[in-house]
Amino acid sequence: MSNERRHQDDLNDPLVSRAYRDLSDERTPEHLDHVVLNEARKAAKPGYLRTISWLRPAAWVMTIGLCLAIVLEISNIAPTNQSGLIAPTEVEQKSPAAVLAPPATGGMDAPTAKAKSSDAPRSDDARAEKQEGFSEAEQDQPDEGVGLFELRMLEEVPAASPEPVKAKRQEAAVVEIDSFDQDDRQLLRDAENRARLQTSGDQEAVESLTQFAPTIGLASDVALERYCEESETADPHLWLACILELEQQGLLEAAKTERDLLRESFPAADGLSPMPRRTIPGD
Amino acid sequence: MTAARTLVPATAVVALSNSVGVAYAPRMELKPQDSALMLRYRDGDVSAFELLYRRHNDALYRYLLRLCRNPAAAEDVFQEVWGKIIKTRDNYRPTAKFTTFLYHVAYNCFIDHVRRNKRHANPVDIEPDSQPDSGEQPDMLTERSLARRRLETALETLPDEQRDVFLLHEEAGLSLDQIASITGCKHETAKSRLRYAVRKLRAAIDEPPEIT
Repeated sequence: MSNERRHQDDLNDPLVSRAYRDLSDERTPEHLDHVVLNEARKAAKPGYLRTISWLRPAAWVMTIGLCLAIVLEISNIAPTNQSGLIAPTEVEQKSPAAVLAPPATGGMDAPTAKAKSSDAPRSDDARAEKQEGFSEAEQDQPDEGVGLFELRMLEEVPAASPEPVKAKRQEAAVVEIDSFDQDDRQLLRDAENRARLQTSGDQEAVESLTQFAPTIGLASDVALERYCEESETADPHLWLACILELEQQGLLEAAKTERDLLRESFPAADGLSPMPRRTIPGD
Repeated sequence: MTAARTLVPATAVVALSNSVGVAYAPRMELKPQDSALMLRYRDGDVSAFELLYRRHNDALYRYLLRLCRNPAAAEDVFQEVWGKIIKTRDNYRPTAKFTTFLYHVAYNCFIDHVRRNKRHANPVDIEPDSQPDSGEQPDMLTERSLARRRLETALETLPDEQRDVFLLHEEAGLSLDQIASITGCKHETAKSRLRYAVRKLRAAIDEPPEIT
């Protein structure tokens, strides 16, 4: 017992402890305190972020979500562009207005353009090329019942008021028609006829025309060209025969259009009698 | 509110707790625990760290000063210790007493320092003149100075292990188990080292002053 007590005294000697405490009065140097406390302050600066510990993962999740949303949006837009929309440059290249409009005169006035166009050698092949370009452009055109020529016109005027649009469109057409030669006029007339047929809602006429055409898109072009070609429209008798034939086939609207054109071209054609008509090719 | 608390005697609190049947603590803990302060600092409260630092800085400095026996080295290790405490605050878990944690870090830093710089390469005596003047009589100062010298000499002559254990016991106020945990020895070994250290220091203090 006394041995154990002596051991405890050995471990906790109050005299030694007091002597050590009395003599150990060293203090931490001031500069050391400053260094340590400054370090602690610097380290604790972004502490406010640590209190909201969920902020960082939440920010990551939001960023990833946003990126995914953008990617999905872009992937939805891209197919629409490919399938539904035509690049404007493409339309411009194939536009019949580009064919019908005064050739790239670079600022030339109408008579100059006309002179230039009449100087150029004209042939059926060239005209066929023009027609082909026209038809292709119309094929590319979405089926909205309006020809590209009219689209071009509509683009040039504001779409707010329909009546002024129509008037303006007619004016523009007249101006352009006057500046063209006979071939161009014919092309323009054909285009107008097609546009009328499509916009008048006479789907039956269009559909009946398609039976003669290898493709749907070319139907109206082929029908008009077949019955009222340039050789026919040059002679009022032949033209009248063509019109009668159209009426017999039930293409009343087309016949009416042709008759109007005939009256326009030959005002005295009302009293004419039709010449015997040639057989329809392919019948 | 705090003043009212301090004015209530502990016996009254105990009597109140007995009469009401509520287990009131007989001694009110007004000072926040070290662990709580460290957790507050982990959450960004710098003032908590300052409080914690003021509690332990002097004892830790003296501990390192006695271990290193060189003020410059002690300052380096001291700064390194607190730097580690600051850096590891995010991983701090109050599983043990903060003092144990602090002196564990200090002991390891000291060991690293010794390995780096070859321990006791240049031991420097701590000059009594460098200590603050307490305004005592010259003969008392002389006696204190002599006692300091004797104690320091005795501490220096102690084996490293015994000195480590004694300093941890006196400066940090750690128990033998905690000391054993820090120094990596058994409880009995720590106890034995402490006993030898205290005996030798007692002998040095009791030793009559040399007549020169």
